[in-house]
Amino acid sequence: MSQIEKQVNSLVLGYFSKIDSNIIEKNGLFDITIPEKYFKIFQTNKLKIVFDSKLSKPNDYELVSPGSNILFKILNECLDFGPVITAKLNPNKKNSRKIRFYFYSIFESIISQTELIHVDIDMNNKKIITINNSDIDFNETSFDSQIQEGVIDDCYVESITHIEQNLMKTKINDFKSQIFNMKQEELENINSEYKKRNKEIQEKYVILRSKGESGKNLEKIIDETEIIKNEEENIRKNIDNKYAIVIDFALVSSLILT
Amino acid sequence: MSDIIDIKFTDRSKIKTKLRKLQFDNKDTFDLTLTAFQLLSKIKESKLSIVSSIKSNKAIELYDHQIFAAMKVKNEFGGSAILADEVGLGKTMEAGIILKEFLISGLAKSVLILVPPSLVYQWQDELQTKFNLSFAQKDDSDFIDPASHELLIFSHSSATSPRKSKFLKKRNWDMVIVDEAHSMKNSSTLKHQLLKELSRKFTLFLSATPIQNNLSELYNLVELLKPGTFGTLSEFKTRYADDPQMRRINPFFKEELQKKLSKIIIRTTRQQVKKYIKFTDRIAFTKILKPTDDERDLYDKITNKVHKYYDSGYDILYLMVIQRLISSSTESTKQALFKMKKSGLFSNDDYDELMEIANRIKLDTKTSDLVDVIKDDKDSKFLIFTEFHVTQDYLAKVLNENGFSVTLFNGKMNLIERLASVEQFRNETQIMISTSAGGEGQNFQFCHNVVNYDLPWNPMKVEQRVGRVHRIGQKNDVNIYNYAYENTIDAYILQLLYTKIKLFTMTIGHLDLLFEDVTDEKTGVHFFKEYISAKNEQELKNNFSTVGENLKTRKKDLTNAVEEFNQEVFENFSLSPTGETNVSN
Repeated sequence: MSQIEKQVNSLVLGYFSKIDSNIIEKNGLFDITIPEKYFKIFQTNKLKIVFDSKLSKPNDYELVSPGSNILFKILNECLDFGPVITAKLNPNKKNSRKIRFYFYSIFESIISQTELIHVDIDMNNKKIITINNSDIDFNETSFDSQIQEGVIDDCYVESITHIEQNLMKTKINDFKSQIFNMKQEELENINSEYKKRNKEIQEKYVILRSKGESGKNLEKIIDETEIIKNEEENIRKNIDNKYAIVIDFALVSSLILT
Repeated sequence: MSDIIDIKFTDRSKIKTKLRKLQFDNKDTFDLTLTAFQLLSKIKESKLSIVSSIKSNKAIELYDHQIFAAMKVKNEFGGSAILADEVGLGKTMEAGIILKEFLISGLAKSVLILVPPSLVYQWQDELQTKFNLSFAQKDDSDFIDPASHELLIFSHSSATSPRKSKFLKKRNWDMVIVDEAHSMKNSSTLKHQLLKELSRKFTLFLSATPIQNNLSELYNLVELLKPGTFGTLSEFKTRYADDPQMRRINPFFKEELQKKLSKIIIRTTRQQVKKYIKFTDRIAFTKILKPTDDERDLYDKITNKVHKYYDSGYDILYLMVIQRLISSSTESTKQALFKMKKSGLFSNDDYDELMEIANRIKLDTKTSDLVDVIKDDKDSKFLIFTEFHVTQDYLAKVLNENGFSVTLFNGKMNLIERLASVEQFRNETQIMISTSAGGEGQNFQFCHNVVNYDLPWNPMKVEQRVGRVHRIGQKNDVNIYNYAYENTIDAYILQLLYTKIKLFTMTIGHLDLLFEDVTDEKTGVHFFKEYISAKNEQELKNNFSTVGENLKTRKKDLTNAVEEFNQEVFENFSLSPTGETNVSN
């Protein structure tokens, strides 16, 4: 099983467990009974699914893998949960509270890159810290005190500043220059082509003038110059749009550590 | 640095609010969310993530060259390419894989597909059944306007209408796909101009014949795909053409041209895939039957009226509909009679007399023959096409009475009904009766008998009918039964066009070139005029003979030109994603 297949398996079965579906597995074939509340998502109350492509066609069970409709629905459900949880940090010498923000970074242009990142902050002094995952005990989840007003926002602002100025700074610049280079290559071709086209048309104009031509033929060339100018403007505008960059650091989850 | 950069920090799930309110979730939810995001990243990074999912779809037969093509476009071509496989190798499938991959990985959100008018339904249905993608098109009941749908299919012609093109040009599309892209080759056309102005990130052109006449067509297509690649047209001509007409390639720069093309074009030939794709033949059975006296009488009497009204300058399109109705079935002839009476073309007496003849015909000669054909091959499925709903209903009744199981398919059905109908035909019934409109939308490789119960007068439409069945994945030779009565317009078209220029066995894909300067309707009008304007039978034969000869010559020239030209450009050079070299036949 590839890593993607393992993740699909874990996500899908985890999701069906979470919504209290009845799951019966036999030789890699899964019969899922969907609780009524979720009928409208899956448009049925029973699903027959497999995660192994070899088992799909012979058994008439739907393969759940990237591109499948079931996976698409489950992914969308899970991406929207936006969970906030608490856990215990061991050791926590100063006994101070920490917060971890999870961001899904999406770099979009003619190419796209995504990554799940996190930023840890000490809630007392709002300083960036580093917490090892191995120090987090998820079994301890009690949280009974209040959080002072404004602390969450201060920590969030600190985290996004850290992302932009430190954590992802190099990646942002690398992405920008990668896109810039691709755009430049295309622009150079355009510059060269339109420079030559304009030159060709100017030469035509000069020749016609030298032959004493006037009126319609010259007007035609002037019109053509205008068309080329508009065309070039339009192509440049399209290239700007094509290589526009949108970078989104979407807050997707958070963890409070005590 | 790039001019437009937007850095955002979003909180769609309102996590900050949850934190402030101390609303906590459990660890399982947390794990699911993180796994979902990690998985999403892996899907994006993958070379091609959707292969397994597509392979598991029963409605799809996926081939290696299609997977490789999609991988190449995604990972090496930056999402833009000319998909130029030879006809019948599944270019639509390749485009669909790329499209789906780009959609699920988030690389594309808004997609515009431009196709010839007759292929709008086919694309819409295929994307739904094979890729589970719901594209809107302007005839959908829930269609709003071009700006309101993220996934849109438009015909070439409607996209170029002033109002629509304005809408389409206003948006920044992520992906634009153009089927039969060679029709965009002429830089002075509205279609070409529209594409030039459409703002987009990724472009896919589909064409089995990216070059037909000269190298300037190739230049124009590449200019639309990747502007500036070849410099100006005159530079391109000077460097790569060996003659003023640009019909030969300069041998000194051929390799350079091919190298540049290898970063733009993907082309797989039939020769390269014959190891794993079985190409089957078409066997045409032309059934020109002798009608009964009543059938003959009815047809001739109405045709004489049509002649008379044509000579007096009556609306030709109306008369054409009448002539097509009386060529289909007795039931559709009754409809024609009613129409003519309503329009005042028949007196009540004429109408009554002809209706009496029509009512005497209990079973059409064509139907009787068709029943025998199906009885002789009762274990096979038959896809029967007719142009008219009234004929469809009549045939369904007769075939049911003869004990056959029948499914109907037509343009009145919505997408869900159409898909259900196909499933019924696939799994339960022996026969499907489809109107032409319905026939454009689906693939029926599980059936290998096509019946043209009546004949569309446009050869492109006939090709579309046969193409539903005779395509990649068909395991058997395809039988094509063409029905007509002696001395009718359908018989002339069948004999002099299909038999003479062997359209049924012609390499599919060249047909559109053969008829490229006549639009769908005009082709029918052209043939109708030849028929209706003839003063006697000899003149009629001469008229059709001339049309046939002209098309025959044109077909020969075209086949030679396209094949020679493609061979010269692509000869001994691999544009196939599988890495195999093209072999000259």
